[in-house]
Amino acid sequence: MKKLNYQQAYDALQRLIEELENDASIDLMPGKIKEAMQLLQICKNKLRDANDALEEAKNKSEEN
Amino acid sequence: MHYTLLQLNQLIESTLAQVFYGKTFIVLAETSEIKKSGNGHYYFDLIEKDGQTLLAKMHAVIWKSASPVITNFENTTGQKFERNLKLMLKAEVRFHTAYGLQLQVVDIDTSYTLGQIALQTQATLQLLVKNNAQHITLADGQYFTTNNKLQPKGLLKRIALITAVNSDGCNDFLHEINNNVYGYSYNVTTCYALVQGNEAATQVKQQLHYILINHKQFDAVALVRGGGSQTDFNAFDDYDLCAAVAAFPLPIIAGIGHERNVSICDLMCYKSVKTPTKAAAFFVDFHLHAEQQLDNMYNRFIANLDRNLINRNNNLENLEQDLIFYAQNVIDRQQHLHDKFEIALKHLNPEKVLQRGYAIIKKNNSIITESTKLMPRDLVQIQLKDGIKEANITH
Repeated sequence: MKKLNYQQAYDALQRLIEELENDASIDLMPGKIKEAMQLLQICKNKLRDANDALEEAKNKSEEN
Repeated sequence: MHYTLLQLNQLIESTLAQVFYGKTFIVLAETSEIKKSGNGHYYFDLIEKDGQTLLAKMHAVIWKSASPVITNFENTTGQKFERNLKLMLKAEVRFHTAYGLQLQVVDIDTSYTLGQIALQTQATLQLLVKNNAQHITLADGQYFTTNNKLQPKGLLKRIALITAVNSDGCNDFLHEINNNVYGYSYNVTTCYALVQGNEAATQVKQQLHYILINHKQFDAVALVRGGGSQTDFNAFDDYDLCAAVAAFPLPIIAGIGHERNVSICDLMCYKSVKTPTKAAAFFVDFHLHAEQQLDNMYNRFIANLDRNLINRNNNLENLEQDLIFYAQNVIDRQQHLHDKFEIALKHLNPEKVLQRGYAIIKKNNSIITESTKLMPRDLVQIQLKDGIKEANITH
């Protein structure tokens, strides 16, 4: 999977879920679920990084 | 018969006394050639002109005993008692054998002078608006100028200070700004100029010109005077100076020490305050305000980011739930179909059919499903749930 930014990963995840919602082929499902879980992990990691940075900024702001 | 000069003057004195003695007159005249003697008397000429033509002239005096009249005049009008002032005076006519005819001034009508100043100010303002439309406009009684509409970006740290050398105003400004309670530091460049008297307007304009040429070195201009008399503000009503202030590209903060009046310069500049100390305080307040704005902006940024991350996190959780839900749905649907097939297949199994009481009829090992395929005397096999029997077809 090529390197995606948050929005790209989020959009791709949304598209996969829409495909599942519209009844995906059962043959493709294992692959799609695996891909969706990878995209979800990318989004979660990026969100966690942003949250960590925000917490650091808040702590610095309180120190000042 | 002849008179000595003294005799003649005594005759004039007594003749005039008959008409003028004990009477006071309200006189409208212009001052000229004022001299203050060492013993505190003011000697000057009063004149009346029609354009450049002199129509009348008389010596006048304000004795030291009446000099509070001048102090009162200067304090009330903010106008120095000097030449070329059009005044309304209360005076007595005196003739002295040694000094001749003179008007002895006992009072000056300050309200008349204030009216004259107001008229002059109004005329100057009208001319400024008319001739400098690109820099000065009047709307709803307020003057909007290029200078007072400036919106400084960043802090006002590099200040060009126009002030009189070694003046109290200069010292007050520098003391206030260098000892501000917040410890902010400023880079103040002094640009010395006379700030009162006839040369003041010209010198202040020259310094503004210097600052304009070097404007990249400065963020703002402070124009201060103070500590001196509360008179002689004419320079700050000067047409050319006020036009230059109105058009100036750096914010000008004026603290020129008026207690009563507002000069035209005050109306044209970015910010007008009463004293040099308050002018310095303006810069400190400006810095403080900018700092608070920055803090607010940072806090807003953090709060927005916080909200944004919470929203994204919620969205992601929803997507995760959707992913599980819809994938499960697809699998469940397929599973359901499998189950249906399985049930159908179970029902179709021949053993299950035989158990329900049905039989399979075969002839020569082929299943017979139609009666037309059997003829009398044919041998058939009948398969039941527990075994096979043979039988003949009779008819």
